[in-house]
Amino acid sequence: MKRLCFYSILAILTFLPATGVLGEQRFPRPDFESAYVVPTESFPAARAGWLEYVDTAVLAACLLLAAWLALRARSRRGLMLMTIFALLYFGFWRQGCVCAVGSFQNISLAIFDQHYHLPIWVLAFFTLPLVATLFHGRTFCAGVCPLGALQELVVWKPVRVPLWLSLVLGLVPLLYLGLAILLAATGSGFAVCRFDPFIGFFRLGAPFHILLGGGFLLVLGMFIARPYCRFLCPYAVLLAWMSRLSHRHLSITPDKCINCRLCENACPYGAIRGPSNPREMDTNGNGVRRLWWLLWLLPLIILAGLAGGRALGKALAYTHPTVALATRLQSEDGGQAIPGSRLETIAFRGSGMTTAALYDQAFNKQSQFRWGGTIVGGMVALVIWLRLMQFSVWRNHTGFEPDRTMCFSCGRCFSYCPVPTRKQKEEA
Amino acid sequence: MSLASPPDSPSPPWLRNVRRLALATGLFVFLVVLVMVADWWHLQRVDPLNSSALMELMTRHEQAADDVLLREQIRELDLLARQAYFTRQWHLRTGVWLLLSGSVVLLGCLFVLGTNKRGASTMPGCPGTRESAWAAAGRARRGTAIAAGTILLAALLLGWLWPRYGDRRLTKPESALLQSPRTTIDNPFPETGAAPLNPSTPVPTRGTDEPTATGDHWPGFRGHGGIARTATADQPWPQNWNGPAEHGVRWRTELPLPGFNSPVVWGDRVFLSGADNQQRMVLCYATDSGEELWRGILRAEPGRTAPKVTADTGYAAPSVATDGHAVVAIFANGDIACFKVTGEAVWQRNLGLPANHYGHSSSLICWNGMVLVQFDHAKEASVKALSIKDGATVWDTSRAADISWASPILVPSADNMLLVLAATPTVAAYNPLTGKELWSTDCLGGEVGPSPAYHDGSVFAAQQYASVAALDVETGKIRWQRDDLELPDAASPVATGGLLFLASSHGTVTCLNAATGETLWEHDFPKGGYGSPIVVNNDKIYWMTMNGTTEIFAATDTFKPLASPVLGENSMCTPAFVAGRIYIRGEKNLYCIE
Repeated sequence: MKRLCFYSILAILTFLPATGVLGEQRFPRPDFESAYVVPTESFPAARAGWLEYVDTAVLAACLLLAAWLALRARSRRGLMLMTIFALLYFGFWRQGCVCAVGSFQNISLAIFDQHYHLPIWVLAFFTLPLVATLFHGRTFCAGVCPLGALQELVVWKPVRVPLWLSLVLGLVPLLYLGLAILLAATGSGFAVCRFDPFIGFFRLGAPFHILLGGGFLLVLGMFIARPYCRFLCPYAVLLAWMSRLSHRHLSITPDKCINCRLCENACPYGAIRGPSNPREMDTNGNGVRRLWWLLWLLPLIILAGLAGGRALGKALAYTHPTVALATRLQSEDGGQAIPGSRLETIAFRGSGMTTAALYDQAFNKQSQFRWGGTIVGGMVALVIWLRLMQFSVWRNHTGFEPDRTMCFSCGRCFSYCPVPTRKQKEEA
Repeated sequence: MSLASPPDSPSPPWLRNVRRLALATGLFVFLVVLVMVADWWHLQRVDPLNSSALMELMTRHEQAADDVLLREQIRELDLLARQAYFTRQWHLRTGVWLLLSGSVVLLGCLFVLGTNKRGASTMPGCPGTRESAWAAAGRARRGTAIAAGTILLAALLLGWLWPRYGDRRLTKPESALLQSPRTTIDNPFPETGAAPLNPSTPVPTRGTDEPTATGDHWPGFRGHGGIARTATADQPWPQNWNGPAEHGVRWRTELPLPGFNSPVVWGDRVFLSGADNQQRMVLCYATDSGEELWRGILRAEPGRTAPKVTADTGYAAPSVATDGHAVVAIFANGDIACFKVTGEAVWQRNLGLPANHYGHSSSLICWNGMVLVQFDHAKEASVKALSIKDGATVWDTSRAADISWASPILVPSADNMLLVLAATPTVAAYNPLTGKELWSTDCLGGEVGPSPAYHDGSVFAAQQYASVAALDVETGKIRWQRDDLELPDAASPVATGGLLFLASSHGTVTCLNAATGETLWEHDFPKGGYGSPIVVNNDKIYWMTMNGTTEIFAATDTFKPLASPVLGENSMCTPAFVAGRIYIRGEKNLYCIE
């Protein structure tokens, strides 16, 4: 079954790029008839097309190298060097854009907005790490992701977060993923990029609250390792799913585990699972009853998710620019004083478009949010139910091994294992 | 760096220095953060987009637009706010640099301190009590259930509270304008009492084989329904005229503004539009004398710039449309305006700047109290119906299409009228009452300029470097399709008597069997044309070529040239045929040929 899932997902991810539309600069910048000089319009400035292909090639090469370092060479030092390279190249030089973490938003927008042309390299940045994870586990997190790299370098005195809390907090990235897809698909914006906590460091400038948030996460990351990756990153949800089905994965021991327990405290992410204790297993039928209850509760959980998503969608609709503009306009026309800029409403009033047409658009957008929220809510509820099922099924482990969904393949545990590698055996 | 905490060992002097450096850089980083917070706090109020003082001055300026002193005050304050804003940006950037540099040094020191405190061994030593994964899963299950329940409650509460108590919420206005989609508008001008020029308004009716028409009108681009045929079968039409010699020319009038749109005629009036990058106008002339009766100038909106268009498309490529009460025109910047046929402005609105690298060129159709607009652009592809009465959107349907320069046509099907649109990649039919898509067929590619044609239950669409296809008007099913012949890129195809005629921009006219697609004849004229050929009296084709020569030939399965009268100036337009007169727009003049 796992093999079937692996090959199915691999096939989907392999052929996904074929459905993409080659993005291109189709229309020239408008010529203003006044003496207005158009400033550099985006920050960072758009990169030349060929550089985007270079970036894609570098990403692919880094993914291969990281997999080799984690699985074959078992080199923590090599992975650290890769981390530094990723931070410098994908972080500071490329200024964090396009990054794989936010690329799913482009995919969402491209699926739901037929006028949005998805650049092929954005598709590659979305697909390649997932394909690599499907083969080798989360080696992308280990040494290629600039956000992970920044946090990896600041881990100083990590404290262990209780496993149950880590698992519960795993809900946050799932919700973030759902919300970000909803906002991107409805054209409201790319929330993950907008609230990327580390982008301000890569670009040496960002809104102050973003810098503050990034600084807070880095300070927190000195004691709770990789807080963004573990408890916020929406892309990590997809990577974790891929990693669960991965063809091969990093192992703590190069050979058979001798259960020495030396590695069990080595992981600052709490991703090492030890041998299970059969005495803990439910023998009085409680486990089976729990599973039956969960099965019976599935429709109720899905319904609750649908209702919650729909309710949230109604509130989130006000984040869309059209709805926000229509709301502000209605308030102004109703004589209500609203704090903030009136420039948008002034511009609208000069556009010649009728308010009726704007309201029509805003109501359509609200309807999209309601339906989108309903679908996202249902999907999130389904995943939560699957997690509850996962927590309720007994799994038998015989040795110390990484939890594939939580392990970042950073290689910290290598040096804790006393079992010699083949090379060490040959040298001995 | 590990979780293990081995016992401390005595620190060598250099390690103490590292510790001091760590303390100093830590203090430095803390101070930088403090200064940045203070700076942010101080400059928060001078954001130029949210300056309350500026807003207040601007509000006052709206009431006293001529107050020069106030204007200067606004400019000065705006400049100050912007300077403060960019200074803040500079502060922020410098602060981040200092913060990063300090953090790198601090982290290096901490790393060294941590490594040396831990000692040479990387082994964690004997572990303590291991956390049970199964027990943790149990706690996680309960925690997840509680967290999910809390989130659900919060979402429900938010969704319920916001629309009721949020300070910014959108409520549905009671305005009648929002009762969309409206399906019928019986009388566009009930309150004005303005009578149509001819009471027998020839609105195409459902269930007929071809749209009905009268000989007194040519209500839009390519005539009634846009299907490019004259209304009568026995009307004598001029065939020999000579513009330079003034032979056969009833009148000639110079046009005030350029435009590639074609003349539209209703009763005793000819309508067309003209525009440049400064102004846009609708023009009305008397059919008998060519006298200008009125010109309706569109309101210029502040802050809106003219789009970039190419010289062969211009700012006024779409033809106007009329229903005998009103005339509606659309321009390259998305402005659409309606005037009464007597010249009074009725409404004007902007549909959004068309993202179109040549310039918007799809013409309008007036039908059943609505004006039908094909608005296929890079940012938005849609077909809309606006009320002729007030410009309100009656329906608006998004389309999966690229930019199109073609115009819609209105044709009959078995039980309804169909609005047929051509674009890349589809030819699609819509219910013109509701905007609902009825069928859509992929058969085109490239930059679609030619509008579809209709004849005998078939819709024909063609585009250079793509194909020509015949589609069943009821289902959209392709009857035949070919791509191995010279195809048009601007002139629209036309069909009559079982024959389909294609005119290319290079001057090649191809006649095909409309039922099978078989080529019957092909002829190269000296000059190509952007104007579309028109079927006249069901047995002749008039095709205006670029140099102003009208190529007239028989609509038969063998090529029979009839005449090649000249206008005396270039023309890119499609003539209008009304009551034995032909109205031709040249590059600079409007002609009436009799």
